[in-house]
Amino acid sequence: MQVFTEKKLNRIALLGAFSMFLSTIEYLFPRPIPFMRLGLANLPVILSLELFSAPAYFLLILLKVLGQALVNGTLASYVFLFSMVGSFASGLLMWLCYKALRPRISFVGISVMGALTSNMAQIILSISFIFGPSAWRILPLFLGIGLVSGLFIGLFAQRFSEKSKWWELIRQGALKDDLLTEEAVDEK
Amino acid sequence: MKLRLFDILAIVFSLAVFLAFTLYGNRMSQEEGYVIIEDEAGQSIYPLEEDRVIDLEGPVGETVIVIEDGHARFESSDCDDNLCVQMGEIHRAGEWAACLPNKIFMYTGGKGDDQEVDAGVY
Repeated sequence: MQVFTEKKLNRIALLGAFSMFLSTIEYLFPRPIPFMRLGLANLPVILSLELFSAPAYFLLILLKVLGQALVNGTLASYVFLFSMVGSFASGLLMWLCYKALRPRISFVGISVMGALTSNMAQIILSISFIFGPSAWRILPLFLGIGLVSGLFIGLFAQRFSEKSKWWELIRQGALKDDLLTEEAVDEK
Repeated sequence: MKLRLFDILAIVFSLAVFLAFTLYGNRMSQEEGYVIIEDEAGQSIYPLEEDRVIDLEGPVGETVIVIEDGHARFESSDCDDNLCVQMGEIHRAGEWAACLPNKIFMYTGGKGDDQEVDAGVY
């Protein structure tokens, strides 16, 4: 059974690689708390909302989480679980926002909501399993940083999506592929 | 590029959640804080909300602890090096300061969860 066409797989792989590259960039920034992230690696995920259907989109999120874990060396630790839950929770919400609220929402709003969801999910996890209720006290710090970084990443994503010719080509290509595969399905 | 309706709502909502938790966190730390002071005579507990001055007698003389604005600190002490005064203010659960020559030890605690941490540390 073939789930994705080869072109689509290539696209997922390309964006997954970008995500990993951005994780590496992000790793260069000092990090005071283990779960604190700027969320640069979310950029490809946010942009891919324009390209992918749900299975490809969530596969990309899985690649992002794995890539981050490999770069940061947290694959075998509980941080990985946190990252996984935060990424999928925010991924799901961003997906819903994109589908339900377009065109009255841009990547700015989507990115901000994604950051909020990721932080809330992770803080609820840490209250339940690791730090206990005192984890509430670091929440304002997380939310504040998340809001600012989410805002900037959203602004960048929106601008990039509007201005980049390269991205425009990829987007058109994706559209064309979708049409082609539908025709192919019809022929069969 | 222009911000759209739900962009603004998303930002306002995030900001509101951030502010709510900031205020909540502040109130929690003010309401629940207390300081435990141990000296030769035993242990006493004071809330951090009420300002007060506490005079204590120890082996080398007098030590004064001041609780002010939700913080506790050693104001002065008759010990030689005055390390305790230099330790400054404490207020968050689990912080501590001590005047060893006068055998006075104080630390701050919160409710519930923080006490477990204290038990582990001390």
